Formats: sequence, C-alpha cells, structure tokens
Amino acid sequence: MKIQVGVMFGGASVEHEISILSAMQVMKALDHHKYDIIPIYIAKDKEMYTGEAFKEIEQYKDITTLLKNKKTYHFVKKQQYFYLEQKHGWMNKKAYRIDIVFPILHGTNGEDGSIQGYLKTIGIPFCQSDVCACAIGQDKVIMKKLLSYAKIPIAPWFYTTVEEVNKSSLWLEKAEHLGYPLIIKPANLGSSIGIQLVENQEQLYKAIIEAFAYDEKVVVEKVIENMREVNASVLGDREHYEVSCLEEVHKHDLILSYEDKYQGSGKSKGMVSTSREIPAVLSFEQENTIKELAKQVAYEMEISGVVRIDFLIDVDHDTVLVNEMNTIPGSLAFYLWEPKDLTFTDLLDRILTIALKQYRRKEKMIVSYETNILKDYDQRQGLKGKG
Amino acid sequence: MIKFMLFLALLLFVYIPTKEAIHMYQQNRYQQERYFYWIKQTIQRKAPYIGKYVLAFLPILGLLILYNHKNITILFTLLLFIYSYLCMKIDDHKKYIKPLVYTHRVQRLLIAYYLFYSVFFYFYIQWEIRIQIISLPLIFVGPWFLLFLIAAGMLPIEKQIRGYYVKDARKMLQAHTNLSTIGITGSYGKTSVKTILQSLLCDEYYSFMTPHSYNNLMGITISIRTLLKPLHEIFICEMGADHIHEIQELAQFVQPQMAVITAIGPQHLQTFQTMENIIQEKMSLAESLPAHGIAFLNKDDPHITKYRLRNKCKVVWFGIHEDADYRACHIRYSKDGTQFQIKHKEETYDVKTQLLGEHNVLNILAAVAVAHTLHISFEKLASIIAQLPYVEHRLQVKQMPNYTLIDNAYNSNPKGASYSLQVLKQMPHKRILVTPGFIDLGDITKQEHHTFAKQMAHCCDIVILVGIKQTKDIVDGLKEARFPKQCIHVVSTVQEAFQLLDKVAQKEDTVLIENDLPDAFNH
Repeated sequence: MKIQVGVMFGGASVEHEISILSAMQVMKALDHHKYDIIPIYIAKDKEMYTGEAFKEIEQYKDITTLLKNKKTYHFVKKQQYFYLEQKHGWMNKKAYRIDIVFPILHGTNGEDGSIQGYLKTIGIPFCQSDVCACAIGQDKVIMKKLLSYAKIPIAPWFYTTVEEVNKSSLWLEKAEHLGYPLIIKPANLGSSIGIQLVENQEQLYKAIIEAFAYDEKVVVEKVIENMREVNASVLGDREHYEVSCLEEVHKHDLILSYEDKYQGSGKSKGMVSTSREIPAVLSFEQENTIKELAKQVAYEMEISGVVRIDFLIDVDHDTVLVNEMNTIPGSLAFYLWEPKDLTFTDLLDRILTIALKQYRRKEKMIVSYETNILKDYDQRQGLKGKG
Repeated sequence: MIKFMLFLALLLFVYIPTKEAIHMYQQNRYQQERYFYWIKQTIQRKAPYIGKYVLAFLPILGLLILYNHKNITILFTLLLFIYSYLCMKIDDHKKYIKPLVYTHRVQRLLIAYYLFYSVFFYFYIQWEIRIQIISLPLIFVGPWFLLFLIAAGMLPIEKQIRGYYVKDARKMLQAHTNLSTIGITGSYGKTSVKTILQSLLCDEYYSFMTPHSYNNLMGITISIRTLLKPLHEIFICEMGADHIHEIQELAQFVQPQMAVITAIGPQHLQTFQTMENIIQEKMSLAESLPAHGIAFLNKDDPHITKYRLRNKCKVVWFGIHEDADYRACHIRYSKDGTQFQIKHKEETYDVKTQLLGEHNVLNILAAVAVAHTLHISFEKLASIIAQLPYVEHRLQVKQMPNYTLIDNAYNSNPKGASYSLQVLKQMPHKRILVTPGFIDLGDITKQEHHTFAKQMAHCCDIVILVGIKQTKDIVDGLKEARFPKQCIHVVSTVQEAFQLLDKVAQKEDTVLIENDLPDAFNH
C-alpha cells in the first residue's frame, strides 16, 4: 500500500509562482514506488484544486484557463482517514485519500505557520517545520530578537512600526545611530520584495512608507559594505541536525533583486539559475563557523525537515552574521545536498520520515482530559466557586 | 379512536420491560445461554417476592369486575398510561453501573420488537375485553421471554452485518502490506502487556493497539476499521477467548508475525471445560506464526514450558525465576512502585516503575522482550518504563478524597488476585478489600474462594464482600482462618459497598477493589 502524499503549492502569496516551480520539482523527484502523489494547488483566491493536470508545468502558463471548469476541493475527515473531497456535487464526489501533506508554499500563508496551523487543527500529518518555527522564521523582527537572545551574531539593526513612524522620530535617531547606508525590509514577506537600499534620510523615509504597503513592521539593518553571501541548508529535527554543502551567491546588484533570483539567464527556472558557487570557497575556520552556527540556529528555532539559512560574511571584520532563514526553501535546497551524496529523492524521503516522527510524538501528548469540569459549573459562582 | 389510544398505551406499557430485557441481554454479551441462565437465576431470586407483584396488578382485577361497563376500554387505556408512567418513574431512579448503550444492534432489536408489537397489538385490541385484561400481566413479563424469539430472528441479520464488517477489516489488513502484527494472548496480563508494549514502541514506530479490552473478533474488527491508518507500521492485537477455536480463528484473521503468550491459568474453565483445552488454545497463537515469526513465551509458567510447540519459529523466553532470555532479578517492591534489573545476554539494566505487583514485573518484561527484539535500545526502554502510566482498572492507583484506591476492577483470576493481595499487604494503615469473589470459574469456584479467603486473612484488615450468595464460601473460609467477624461485611450491591467504605475508610487507608462488578452479576 502506497502512502498518499498531498503536495501543496501555490498559495495567496507573492511567491505563488515560485512555489509552483518548487512543487513540480518535488513531485517529479518523489519515489513513485513508495508514494502516490496528489497535487493540491491553492489558487490566489485560496480555493484548492487537484487533478492530473496540476502536475504539468506547462498548464501554469495560463492559470485562468487551467482553472476554468475545474472543481474546487476541501479537506474532510471520515473516521481515521483524511480526504481531499470535491466541495460541490450530489453523487460521486471525487475524493482522494491524503495520508500526509507536503507544503511547498513560500512566503505568507504558507511559510509563516498559517497553513501548518490549519493542517494541525484538522489533525493531518504534514512535513517540514511546525507552526511556531515557521511563524518565527517568517517574521524577521521576532527571529532577530530570538537570535539576539541566543547570542547568535546578526547585523546591527532596529525595527519600527506604522504607529511609531506616525507618532515620533525615534526611528530617525536610531537610523542615524546605525549609520548609512541602510537596508529596509518589511518584517514579513520574502523573496526580496519591498526591500530597498537607502543612503540618506529622505530615501529612508520613502522606503519605509513603501514597505508599509507589505507589512506594518519594518526592519532596518546596517549595510555590510564588503560582504559575501553564503548559504547553508540544515536537515533534521531537535534530536539530530546535519548541515549540507555551503554555497556562495554572487550578485549583480547590491541586493539580489526579484529579477536576479527568478528571471536571470539560465536553463531552468527557479533558484538554481542564479549565479551560485557550490561548494563555496572558504577557509576551514569560516566553513566550520558557518556550519556550527547553522546547527545552532536550527536548534534555537526548533525547525524540522529541511531549511536554508542565509549568512553574511563581513569581510572587513572577518565575522559571520546570520541574515535570514527559510523554513520552506526554494527547491528545498536539494542542490546543496546532492554534493553530499544525498539525492533529491532520498532527501524527500528523509523529510517525510522526520514528519511522521514529529506527528507520532505530538499525538502522544496529553492535550485534553476525559473529565468535564463544566459538570460542576454554577452560573452564579463560576467554575472556581465551589464551596 | 379509542382503540387507537389503547394501541398507543400498550406500546408505551411494554417499553420499559422491553428496554430492561435488551439491557440484560447486552450485559450477558448477547449470548442466549448466558441470558437464559440469568433469567433462571432471576426467577429464583424474585420468587419469594411474588406477593409484591400480585399487589401491583390488583387494579387490573378490579377492572375485570367492571367488564360490562360501557367505558371499560377507556378505563383500561387510562390504567395502562398510569402503569407506564410509574414504570418510567421507577426506571429513572434506578442507578445502573453500566447503563444500556444504544448501539446499532440494540436499535435493531428495538425495531424488531416494535414491529412484532404492532402486529400483535393490532389483533389484541380486537379480543374480548376480559381476555385483554387477564393477559395483561403476561404481556408485562412477555418481553423478557420474547427476547429469545426476537434475538433468534435477528441472528441471521446480525451475522450478515458482522460478516460484512469482518470482511471489510480483512480487506484493509491485506491491503496494508507494510504492517507488522503482534498478537498477545494468555489467561491474564494481556491488556497490561499490550498497553505497556504500545508505550515502548510508539516513539520509534507508528503503532496502534486494540483499545480498552477489545479482544474478540468484533472488537478487533472495530479496532481495525476505525483506527488502522495507512501510515501505521505496527498493530498490537490483543486476543481473548473463552471457547476453543477462538484464538485460532483470530490468528487466521489477523495473521500475526509475532506472538506473546503471557500466562495460562484456569480462567473461563467453565466454557473451555478442561485445562488441556485452555493450554492448547492459547499456544495455538504461537503455532499460527509463519516460519520467520517470533514467539515470546513466559518461562515461569509450567503449562507453557511443558507444552511441545508445533512450530519451527524462533522462541524468546522471558521470566523471573528461570533462565530466560530476558530475566528480571533484584526485584524490590514498595507502595510507590517497583524496582528491578533486566538481564539479557551479558547485559544488565536497572529499571523502575510506579506500577505495583509481581505480575507487572512480568508484564513489563514481556513488553521489553518484544521492544528490544524490534531494535529499541535498553536506555530508551528504561526511560519510558520510568514514566509508564497505570493501566485502566489494573491495579490503578487513584487518590480518593477519603482514602487511596487501588482499582483492579477487571476480570479477576486466582493468581492475579493473590498478587493484588500481596500489593495490598504492603500498604500502611488499614487495608480494605472490596470484591465479589471470582466469577466464571465454574466447578472450581468453591475451592478457589477458600484459598482466596485464607490469603485475605493474612493481607487485609477489613473485607467487604459484594453479593451474599456468591461470596458465602469466602465468608466460610475467613471464619476458618479466624478472621475477626466484625471486620467481615457482606453487601448486596456495589453502591452499598461504596457507602460502607465512606464510613470505615480514613485518610491514610488503602482500598483494593478486586474484580469487576457490573449489574447483571450482582446478587
């Protein structure tokens, strides 16, 4: 009996199309002998679709046509089974049994814990990190606060909110204190959207206001002038983490823009086509530092499955700083594991095994009691009022 | 119109007796022989109180005198409504330990009954009024006897429905090629071993077990149909039997790769008839294993060690007193739990648990043997054992407001009871025992009760026996052992026992409830 894996992709996020690309790669790489693959496409209006057509990348060139006349689906639970069942219809409603969900969603509504929370509420097992790790990983402000607490090195920074910008000029002072140039990022989102480099007060103000279109919190970081971008992937769970091969990302502009990342020249689309160097050319110490830091970050954030952690090497001061983390990395960072003799297929298998272990462990925990304390409830005295 | 009201009144009138009859049928596990035995016993029990019942029906006789009255039918109907109301009021006040569960089967029985009543009463209301009146008492007790007819009539339908569920479960098992099944049987200890094994395995494997004490064909079928998931890797299946061939059938149904036989004793001797049958049947689980299967057997049990196993599968032994593959030694008991060492090949490991009693040491040992064979390290096992929760109703310690309760309210057996008494013996302050004695031991009940009583005398300070007739031998045994008479209490119902407990038990005392006490068996 094959396990039915629901590969979930698309989503109401700015990285919708990237997620489709990642998912196509995953669906091709999954072991067809062990798993039956059911695509679960979440359209931008949050409706879910499935069917053989959704496994072909060509169909997504014109999504409107693809969705025309297709039925929408939703999750139902019958006894101990989960099904993706047609929403409407009288008889013979198509239903696909889903044993475990593999979310390949990037950005908001996918990587931020919302879909994980939904699946957890339903009770269906899912891959990759749990609600909390995803939520923290996506919110740059909270992540930086957590990393600071754990004494993990990050670039000098501060954050400001819509309210603060309107009420005071504290943020201006903090910016002066950090010193230009600065980089402005909306706290949520991802994939370089809303990110700008600023060199003076005017540009700062403009960039922050623009960033507020995407989020109510904005992170302001000091720009590391002479830096190298190195990424590492971590695979595992709290019991055991391992680090992949390291890659160095070479950019055209000071920041890797959306164009750089996804529309660059290269044979295949997706993350693989930017200018990357694998393995990164580093000193033994640098490599070691990054690998240890990567494991530490993974542990502090309690991630599960595979993540990609982006580092900045401050060349002038020879320090390593943690920049960002992706709980559902593009292409699941498979290209960082292949040099370590872990094929994409095996990587996916590992992720699924870790997910099952996580689910088993969580299922065992006591979350409710048989007794009903409302039995003794007295309207006048409340629950605590018993003589 | 009047006739229609009479029809309704009759249907209402028989509701409570019908419900009670079905309830007792359910308590007797839907088995006609047990139910028949129960009816016989009930008649004998209630015979002395026949006067009370006659009194209840006197108004009916009064009506007989008025048979000529033009409104006699209306009066009759009104009387029926009053009787129905009184029956329901009385039923409301009855407190059952295990109330009737309205399962689909019970609903089908009710429907069958009422179909019968519809036809019967249609003709009944057309009879001469005097005949109607006289047959009323018979109609009142009718449901209890009618059950045999209705149940027999429903049998083919029930069989079909069961057959469908069993086939469905079998299909599910066969589709699931990655599933390893572990069968657990034995005269006692099955549920405990199963529960402990599940705790030991569930970290490393996605395993599930038959819940509570579901250990027959239908229980296992329900478990598979409602719990088996495609992601599961291991199925722990408890298998119970009270007749020969039952274990063989279950083994064929589930097809386990591993088997655990906990112990063999005289449980259900009444229905098995001989010890040889019991031994043969339990061991047949090990004999049903494939050649690459593994049987885990209790080396301390002479019934098991003396049996010649007709199977070339691997055998792993566990036990305390002999040279077992997994051996327990240096066992220390206390009121907070048990500590011991497990020896396997050249290694020794310390374990401790909050579970009480020597039999729990064996239960843990059996589970460890399986888990370790499935490649779970001793370190891991020891840490899980330290946190093992109590198994429901198996020496389950519960803190009550006025005393400490050790709930062992499940199918007791002489060996288990002696272990429980040893546990009670160690408790501080007053040690109180509540028990109905042994049930289901048939002919050897008398001598086992005598032995039980002698053990009680050494271990308890106060004994509360439930059921006057069935515990008579225990009372005799206690008197023989010179147990102080004022410390022996005999009550008729569980409710009385608990009321008595509230009077005699104090904060630091320990109360042990030994054996199950449902309503059908209380007298």
